[in-house]
Amino acid sequence: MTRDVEWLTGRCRRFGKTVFGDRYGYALWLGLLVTFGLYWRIGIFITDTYTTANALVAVSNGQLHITETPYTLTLGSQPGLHESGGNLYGRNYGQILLAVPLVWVLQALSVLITPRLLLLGLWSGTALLFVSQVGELGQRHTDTAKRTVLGVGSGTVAILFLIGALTATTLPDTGLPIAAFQISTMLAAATTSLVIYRLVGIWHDRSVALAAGVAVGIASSVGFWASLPKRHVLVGLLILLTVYLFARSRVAYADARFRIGLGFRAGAYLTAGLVTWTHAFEGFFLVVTLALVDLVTARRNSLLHLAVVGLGLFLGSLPMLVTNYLISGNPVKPPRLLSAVGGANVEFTPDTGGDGGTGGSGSTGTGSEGGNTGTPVLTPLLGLFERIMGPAAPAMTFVSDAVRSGLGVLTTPDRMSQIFFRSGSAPGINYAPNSYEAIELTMLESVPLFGAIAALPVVLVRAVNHRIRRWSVRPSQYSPRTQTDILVAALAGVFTLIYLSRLPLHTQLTVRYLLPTVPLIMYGVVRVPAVHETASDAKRWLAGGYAVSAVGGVILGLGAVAGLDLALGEAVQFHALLNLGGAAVCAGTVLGHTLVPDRVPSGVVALGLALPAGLTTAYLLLSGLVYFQYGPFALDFVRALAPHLPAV
Amino acid sequence: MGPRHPPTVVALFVLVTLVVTGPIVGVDAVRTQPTTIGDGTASVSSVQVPTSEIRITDGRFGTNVAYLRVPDASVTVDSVTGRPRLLYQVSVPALDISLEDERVLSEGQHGTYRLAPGDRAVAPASLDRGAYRGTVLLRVQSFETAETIVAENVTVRVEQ
Repeated sequence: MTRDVEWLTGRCRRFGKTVFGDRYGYALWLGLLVTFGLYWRIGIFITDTYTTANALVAVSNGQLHITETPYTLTLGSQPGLHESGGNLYGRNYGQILLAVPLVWVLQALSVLITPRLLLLGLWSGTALLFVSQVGELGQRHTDTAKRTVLGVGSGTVAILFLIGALTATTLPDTGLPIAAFQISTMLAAATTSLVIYRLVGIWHDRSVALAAGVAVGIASSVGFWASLPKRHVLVGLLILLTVYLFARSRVAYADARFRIGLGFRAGAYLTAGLVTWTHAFEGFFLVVTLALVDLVTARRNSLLHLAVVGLGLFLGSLPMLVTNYLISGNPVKPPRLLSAVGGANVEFTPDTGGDGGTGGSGSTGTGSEGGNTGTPVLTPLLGLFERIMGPAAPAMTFVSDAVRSGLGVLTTPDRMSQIFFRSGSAPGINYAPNSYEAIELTMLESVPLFGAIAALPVVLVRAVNHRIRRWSVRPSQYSPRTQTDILVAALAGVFTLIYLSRLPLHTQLTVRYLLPTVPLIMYGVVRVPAVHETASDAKRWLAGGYAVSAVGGVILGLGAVAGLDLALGEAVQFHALLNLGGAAVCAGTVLGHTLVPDRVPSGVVALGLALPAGLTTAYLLLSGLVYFQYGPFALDFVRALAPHLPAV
Repeated sequence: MGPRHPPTVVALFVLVTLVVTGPIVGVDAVRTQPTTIGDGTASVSSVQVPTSEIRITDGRFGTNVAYLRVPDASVTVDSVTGRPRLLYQVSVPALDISLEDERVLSEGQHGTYRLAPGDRAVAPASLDRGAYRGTVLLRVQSFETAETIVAENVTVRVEQ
């Protein structure tokens, strides 16, 4: 008996080590989940989610097509609904199937526990796990006794639980599937932070890795989308996981551990293939970019290695092929290529000969997509071949169009500025669907830490100089770190470029089409020497500055809403200007330290990084707590607090 | 990880509470409040609605729209029976705008409640007059009753 328990604990410990790396990674992951819970509202924020949420309910009931619509009054008017063989289907089935087990778990537990209290209980349990990890770590780094941390932390959770339980409101049964959907996205967001923690941890010390994890989780737009079940967070996670596995494979190859390296390499392709299950075209671009960088930089490209890699890709794409086959009878025809129903919003999808409907709320002004409106001209010999090539030909036109028109946008400064720098009231956006509220932030406004990119050209010039002096070294002999940097740069470039022609657009909030690039760009920021040296040398300045900046940002935001009587759009733009200020400080200090390290000490750079990070956290918290009121809070102790905050 | 480990103690307490108050055991210690309207009524002792502050002004911080600004209402409730709601509604028909905020009360509640319908952005092109007619309503509603506490016509000025 005891031996069984020991064996089990041993297995759990090994599993934990494989997934989280160490206790810090585990604490980071738990801490983020606890934080996301605080500003989590149960409900539907963006209309596209009606279809996916209804599809989730259908799948959790054991069918792919939608018959019941618990989240909409009528069936047929939701964006993203597709028709095949007389049945209505949703899309992003990969994302949906990830949430299905959670729906079942929540529904099973709700037999025993009242739904609302169930959510409160899950949060409390996570918070208690977090407290016990922090107690353990606090002892290592501070003089605080472990017992004090455990006592105070557990006491706080107990009080919040009691407040929540005593003021609990009813959660209707239909709340559980959407809650499960949101939890799955929160898990994806927290795991994204965990993966960047582990990725950065391969090259830099732990404090740098932790700072990167926290930055992606609650100092970037990933935290904004954490409880909003759109696909972007999940796709971002899978892309980052691909990069992580690629990096591990390069490290193993460099150590001549070819079998392990091959395993990680195949894992990278498998993960990349999985993206096709949620969005086939994003998956396509990921696989192609990965393959190009991988083949050029791999130390071994023998037939056997390529076969294993191909198998990885096939296994990763298999769920998508099966799902497509079940829906349309054609394994390579994803739901987004089927006839759209009602006000369909088929963003970023080729137009397959009058099959897919564009227009509708989400994709007005996207006339550049998919040029081929006639039936494909190909007349293949075999029926199956024809069915596979049917969607393929317009898809290829679409791919080249997306890249070409993306390149076109690069040469229009006004438009680039509306996507990346200052939104205000951008002339390129139709604000009518937002009730004329200017709530669409640019990349820099939503992640002001990206101000640090100002130093990137200098760093790149130095790196290129260094490389030119050793030009005879072939890419396959580059260091694993350089090879990973190349993949990240390529992916960030590709995933920005393919969406540029659709931007700026409404209902983006933080340019969500570009959300998958956020963890990649954050990786780039961390790789700037001025940034990772600071996070390693001046961690107390960084942590202290961040705490002050986040609290200050919340007070400033609440003060502005109350004192200036701000409306929603004004509050969002107030934060936008605040964040741009933070971004400017960040850019100045990081660039300064890069150019003249002696004149700008690392403490100043730490504050320059902490300021925009804290301001972003403040915006995330206030966006959920105060600004965007699309549903009731998941946790009743937060609901009890909310009436005491000023309202927009 | 002994029984004196505080997180474990709290976790056990949480678990026991959840199961004991759950649908199967059903101890009536924790009752979840409904959030939807029912029968009953509320007696309101005082109301503060600064109707003169309802106006249309320009948006700030680069929003480039005009806003219909609606002040919060403050309602003092003495007693509540059943589950009625307070409803505060401001409308400007010519602009096709109706803003409202509600608060569902439950038996035995009393105190002062803030109702904040917020501000509404107005399409810049649709403002062609210097002032608009608006109405302000504050009511107590339930499935049984509908009592109007405030009903007022107001002039909403466009201040630019």
